[in-house]
Amino acid sequence: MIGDIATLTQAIVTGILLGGIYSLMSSGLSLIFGVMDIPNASQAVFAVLAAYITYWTYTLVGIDPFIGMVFSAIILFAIGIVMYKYMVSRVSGLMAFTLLYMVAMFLENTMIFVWTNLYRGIRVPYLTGSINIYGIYVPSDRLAGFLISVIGFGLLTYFLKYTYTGKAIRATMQNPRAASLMGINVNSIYLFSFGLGIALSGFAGAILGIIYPFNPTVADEWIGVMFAIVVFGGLGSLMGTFIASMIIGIVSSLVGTYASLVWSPLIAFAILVITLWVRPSGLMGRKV
Amino acid sequence: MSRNKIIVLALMVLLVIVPFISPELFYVDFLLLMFMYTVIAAGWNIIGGYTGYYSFGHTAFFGLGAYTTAILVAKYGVSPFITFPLGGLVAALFAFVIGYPTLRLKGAYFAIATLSLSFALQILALNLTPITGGGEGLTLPLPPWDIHTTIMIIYYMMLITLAATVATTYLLEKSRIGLALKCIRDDEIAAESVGINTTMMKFIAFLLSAFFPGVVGGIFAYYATYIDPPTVFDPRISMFAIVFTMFGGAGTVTGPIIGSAILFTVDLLARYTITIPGFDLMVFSAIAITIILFMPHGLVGTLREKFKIKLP
Repeated sequence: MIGDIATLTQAIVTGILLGGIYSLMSSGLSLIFGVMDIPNASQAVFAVLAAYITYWTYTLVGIDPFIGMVFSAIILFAIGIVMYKYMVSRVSGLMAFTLLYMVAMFLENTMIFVWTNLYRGIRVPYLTGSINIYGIYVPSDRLAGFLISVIGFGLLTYFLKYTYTGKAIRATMQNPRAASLMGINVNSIYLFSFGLGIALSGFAGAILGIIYPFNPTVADEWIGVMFAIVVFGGLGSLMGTFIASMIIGIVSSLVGTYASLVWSPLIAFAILVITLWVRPSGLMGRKV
Repeated sequence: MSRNKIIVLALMVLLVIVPFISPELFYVDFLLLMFMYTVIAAGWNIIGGYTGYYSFGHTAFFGLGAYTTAILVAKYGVSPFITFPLGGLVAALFAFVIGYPTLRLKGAYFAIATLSLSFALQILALNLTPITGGGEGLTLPLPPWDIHTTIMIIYYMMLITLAATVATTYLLEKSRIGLALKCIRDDEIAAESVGINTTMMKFIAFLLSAFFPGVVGGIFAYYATYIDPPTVFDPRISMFAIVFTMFGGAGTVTGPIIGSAILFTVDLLARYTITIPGFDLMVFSAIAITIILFMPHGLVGTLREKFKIKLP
């Protein structure tokens, strides 16, 4: 009986750690989706790109992954700005989604072309092994990833709540027309949010690259999880995204522990489809 | 007879006699795969092009058709000529089931839902080992004919399905249903307010659009004699269907045909000239991005607008 409780606690702790990382991973998608109403299908591919940038700056130049992470986020921010200015702003709605899906395909296959399908992993020498807390194992790389994610998510929430730009972003989220009448330059808000959203996935991609081995095609798995989280959490609600990340993280960990690991990827899709069926606006989102 | 009819008839005759005049089997093989993608693209065109509901998971219907044929032929010895249409029906049934929750969704939500469902089906096929053979896939018995006859038979099966798909699209375009679908694409609320039963129409479009890819999925399984989940639930099948149609012209009869003919050849050339993995899809998605940004109405649309050429 004691053993059972230990297994359960272990599964839940693993799930919480995973959920925390998911929350940062999905925050960029949630932001772009909320502000522009565009589900950015290329989000996960940019996360993989960030993982590669971090990997190469670490292996070739020897820059610490936690600094490389910031570096790759800055690069992604620039890419996001350019992409919005010259591509995304020309199309809208469904066409924008199709465009971004094709951009994702382009980047994914370019990465396969350049760096092959080989799995790579970022090994941080001072983050090996795990911490043992009352019989529950917490791998230190996951713990570090979790802490960075939660702090990052907290900073994002603070930024959106209390700064001028953050307030402008939220106003645009609620009603772009009214926001522009209040003197907010909606176009530059779009530009900035798109860059920020992609940069956020850059952080998350680097963290995932430290925890899991990756190759360009893992983006397909990640994007499924991200869409599930954002739709389940509700459009335009960062709080919803956070709760949904935790739920999906914990449920997939529980399924992986008690049923079989092969079923845990299905959880995200099942939750996504059920949400769209029963309550398309998600947990805390506005009506769609 | 009008000029258009003569062109269509000549093309049909040419395609029918190709296997007899082709110098090598390679060309027949190439054409039958091209027909397969044209059917999937034309099927996608019914829901995506005419109705404006972009399905990103058409590979699901193809894969379901493939598995229907593979399971029935390999395990129960049913004649493949029965299982081909049956695969289409299974795909249509699946479309009916998922249509209920998904067809209420607008725009990108529908795209996300169909994309996820196709991923989910692939995971299911990988793990329901007793039924699907799991990751090891399913091996079908070899066709009883020699290789030449087999490829010819497969070729004609694909050609017949293609003709049926194009005929359906053409009739749809001329009918009130087609008009209703275009109406839904342009403005669903307006369509509803003038008395169109939008739910019913969307279901008709989705079912038709799933049926034909299901049929060619079955033919493909019989032709390949071996299928596994990554091959028949490949997301690139959905992508090809979307890009072929958009390149040719979404919501037109000839669009998917022209688009598939050109882009399938381009894809093949890209794959044969530079064999490093990833290259062909790189070229392909670059073409797709260019179309979306600079030629949103596709080739047929551009011909109609700029050169005043009337194409159905």
